[in-house]
Amino acid sequence: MASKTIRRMISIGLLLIMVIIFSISSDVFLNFGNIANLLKDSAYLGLIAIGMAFVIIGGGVDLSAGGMACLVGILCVRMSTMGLNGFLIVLAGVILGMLCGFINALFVTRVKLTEFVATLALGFVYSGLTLIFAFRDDRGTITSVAIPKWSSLRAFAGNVGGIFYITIVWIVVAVIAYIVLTRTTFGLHTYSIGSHAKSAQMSGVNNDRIKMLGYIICGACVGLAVVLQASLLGSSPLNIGSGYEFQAIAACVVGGVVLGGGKGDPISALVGALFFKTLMNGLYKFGLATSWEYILQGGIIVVATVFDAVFNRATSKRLLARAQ
Amino acid sequence: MRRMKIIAMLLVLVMAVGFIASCDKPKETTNTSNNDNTASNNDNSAGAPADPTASSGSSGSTGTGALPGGKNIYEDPIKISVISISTAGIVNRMYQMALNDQAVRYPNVILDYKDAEYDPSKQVTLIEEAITQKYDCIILECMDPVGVNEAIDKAEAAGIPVISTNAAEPFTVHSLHVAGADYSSGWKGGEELVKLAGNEGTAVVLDCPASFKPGARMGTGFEDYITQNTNIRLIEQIPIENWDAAVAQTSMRDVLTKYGPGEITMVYCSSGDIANGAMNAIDAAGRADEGILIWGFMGYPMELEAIRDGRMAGTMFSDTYTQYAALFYIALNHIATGLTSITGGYTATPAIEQPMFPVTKDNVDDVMAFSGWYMTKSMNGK
Amino acid sequence: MMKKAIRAIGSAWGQRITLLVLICIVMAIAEPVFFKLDNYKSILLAIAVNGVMVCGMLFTVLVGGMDLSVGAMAGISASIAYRIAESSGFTTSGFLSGCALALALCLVAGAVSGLLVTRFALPAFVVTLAMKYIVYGSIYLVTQGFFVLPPAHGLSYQVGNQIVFSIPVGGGNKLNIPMPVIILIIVVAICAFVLVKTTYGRKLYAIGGNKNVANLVGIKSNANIVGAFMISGVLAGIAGIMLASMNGQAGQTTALNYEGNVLMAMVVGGVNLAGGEGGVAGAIFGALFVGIINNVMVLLSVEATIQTFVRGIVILAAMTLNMYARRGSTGAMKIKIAKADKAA
Repeated sequence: MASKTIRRMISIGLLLIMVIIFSISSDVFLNFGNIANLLKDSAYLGLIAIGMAFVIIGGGVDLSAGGMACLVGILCVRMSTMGLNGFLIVLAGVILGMLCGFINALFVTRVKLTEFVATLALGFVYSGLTLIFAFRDDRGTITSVAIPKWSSLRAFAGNVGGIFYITIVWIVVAVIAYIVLTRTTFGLHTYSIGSHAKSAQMSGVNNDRIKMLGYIICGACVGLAVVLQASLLGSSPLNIGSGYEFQAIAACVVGGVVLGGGKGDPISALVGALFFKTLMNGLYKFGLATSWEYILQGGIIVVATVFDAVFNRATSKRLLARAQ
Repeated sequence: MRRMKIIAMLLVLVMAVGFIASCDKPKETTNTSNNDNTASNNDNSAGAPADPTASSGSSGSTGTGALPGGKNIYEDPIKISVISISTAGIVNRMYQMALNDQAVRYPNVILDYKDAEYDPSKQVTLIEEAITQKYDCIILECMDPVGVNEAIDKAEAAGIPVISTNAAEPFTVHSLHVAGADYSSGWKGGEELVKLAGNEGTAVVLDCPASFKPGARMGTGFEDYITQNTNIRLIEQIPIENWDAAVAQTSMRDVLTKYGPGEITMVYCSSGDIANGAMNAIDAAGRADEGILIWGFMGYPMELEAIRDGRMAGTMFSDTYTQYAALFYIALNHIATGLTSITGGYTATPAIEQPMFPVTKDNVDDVMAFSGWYMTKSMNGK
Repeated sequence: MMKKAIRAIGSAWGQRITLLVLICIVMAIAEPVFFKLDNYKSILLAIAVNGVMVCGMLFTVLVGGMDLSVGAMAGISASIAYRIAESSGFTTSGFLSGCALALALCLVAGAVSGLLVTRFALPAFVVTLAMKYIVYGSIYLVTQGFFVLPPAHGLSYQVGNQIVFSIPVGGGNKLNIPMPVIILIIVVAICAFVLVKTTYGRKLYAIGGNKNVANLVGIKSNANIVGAFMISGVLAGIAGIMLASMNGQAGQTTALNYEGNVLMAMVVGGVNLAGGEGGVAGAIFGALFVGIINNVMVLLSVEATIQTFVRGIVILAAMTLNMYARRGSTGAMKIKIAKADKAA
């Protein structure tokens, strides 16, 4: 069995173990409503994580995802108040995200700033722009405005048979992303510049263009994520994306995407996001004091990643021994 | 290899089960030792009048048991979910204490505190979590008045009364809103400061973080009063990132560098932590005798002491302890009578505005005497 | 001559000085208050806590990791130190034993992070994130949600009736330099010395550059990495105690989410987050630059809603300028080499 498959099975296995434990210890965990809610909640983080996976696999990082989300969110709500069609708004959200991703890429590839610096600073810029585009009342103070009830954007908050649209979109995007990254030349090039940028360049890969595409795709995913989430919430709070870049990176890393680049895939990002959200959902069932929730969350993350690492080492040693 | 895998998986299972089994941690223990005056606090609870829409059979009558549509609040197991914006911070400690102290007399009531970590999406998750786990009541400190609407509607439809407190009032109709009146307390703070300073001078506002402005409107209230009704010049308006006392201190220090002695008349602070930072900056710069008037918000213990010691001009006092103690009974009332916005047929959310009243040197001793804040000052009751 | 100038600007120090000069020019026109001695003190005081934490995290970043738990460690360190001090009535011995216990705990927590990273080859990002949750949750166990309020003279060490050493609330003065700044200078000096002059420092750079090669050369990478995490923990602990003293309160919110500021400072200062590159000078400059931006924004009364935007634009502009300066200088280098080649 290929080691990649084993890795995948181990991460999914850990997720399943968590699910089993939580199902045993609480009778409301495994019911349809809870799982549907869980999948709905994970989709926002999950979509952002898929975009982040593209960037990380290419050897970079995108710390502006949170700011991008806030900005695209508020712009989409503005569009909804102007009466635009829901589909158009979602499309616009994706395009706006791509634009932000393009700007990120510009600074990384043309100005050649470090990824961390460029995306961190641009994250501030996008968050700042969110405040500038925020709704104001007559006096000029920032205020909260909902997506109008008549706007067709609200339709995206619906569900089919209990499964929310955002969940379906998430899974579909994950599959498409997986196919793109593993079966297309673009994907192949992304992996190669992630593993070893110099040799990729020498073998003729246009590093800059691949990186740029990666950032643009990340922006698209973030834009899509926040538009759907705003539709679910009914508004786009000014801090809707705050902190999500770190959560997305954590989800990717726990799922198996390596921060240096070249390893992992969007399905890992999906599993990672699901891991975090399932963990919290399960922990909530115990009704613990919040301090214990934090401690347990940290502890379980450690345990899970340790087991993941130990298993991988054990099985790869076995594979190596068998091969000889 | 397969055998190894199975054994390993079994080991993981055993370990994990052991982990979970040992995980039976006690909930927050209540401080029962120093709460002899909670009964009197509830009788003269400032600004928490009786629920105006309570139907017959309030929880005052003993021994009546369950009423049609409700639960028996003395015997049935009851779970209340308390969802905050963030559980760090002294306000949270205060209301947890207030609720826990009341719950001591109701051993069948479980209070579950949840932390939304400043994430509006998470608040929605937590509300849905309460619905899934079939809680009996939700007490919500709402961050975004729109984002939680759908979740609140679902909760109310499921028979779970949602009581929102302080912060932003969710736009959708729900069972009750107990307001902390931030805008009007900013306004009144302006009035009080002008009474102390006279109708001339300059004002500095150390306000909430920019993205909180829709929900936390005390700074706005103060500015409105000052610009519309007085001759006082608003010279600085600084957002304090994360409500952090250290940032407030740094910003105040920078303001002091910019303006010389006598150029700053008053400083309005949007929280006790921020007031603390401002005070410390003024003291450290050696300009404590300039008579800069600092006005705070909430009336934390350190604020009250600062007012008593003359370091601070005053604050708008909110007796969070009493507010939440009363809320406990309001929640029980809703649970006992099965009252929600749906069963009550509400077309608008009833709101109790808890007036915040000014505390200055004149009345600080009285306030310190009856204030529930004092119980949070230190575990040792100092 | 021109090329020499360009090359000078392009160097690391040159870039930093250029940025500072630019800020000075802007402030000279817009708000000369910037140049008061009080203002310099204010800026240094503002970055003291962040600076100490940056020095700590720097060690972990140099070996190719990072430490996202610094904020939480600062918080728990402050809480433990002050709780113990409070229970002894805020005597000097109480403070000292409190600080000792707090820093010991930070050492242990750092060691655990380091061990997890090295023993199981786990990514530092996840390990320290998990450690952050664990430590943050544990703060409640120490404080029960309350805040400890030290007396006005903050953290102090008394001999008889004389307060010999103190970090007063508000960060008062000793010899006209605020105590937290003195501590910052000492920490910076020690860290710079360790990183540049000692073999331990050089080993860290080697590990960060290429861990496998370092192992082959005989450096015990794992032990050194664990040490780096321990140093990060201790310095975060010191920063936490300083912060609580300056604020006059220690509790759950102390240093909450401060690791964001630390990362920003390091990134602006040119420390390579992949490891092996960067030094204390860069890191502290990064902290200083961010502190200056904040100071400038207050002095210029930048409107509340555009402050975040301005901060982003300024950092972006500064880093872009740095990049062009660097390229310009290497460009000048290349021209010089080409000319030399031609002449030869």
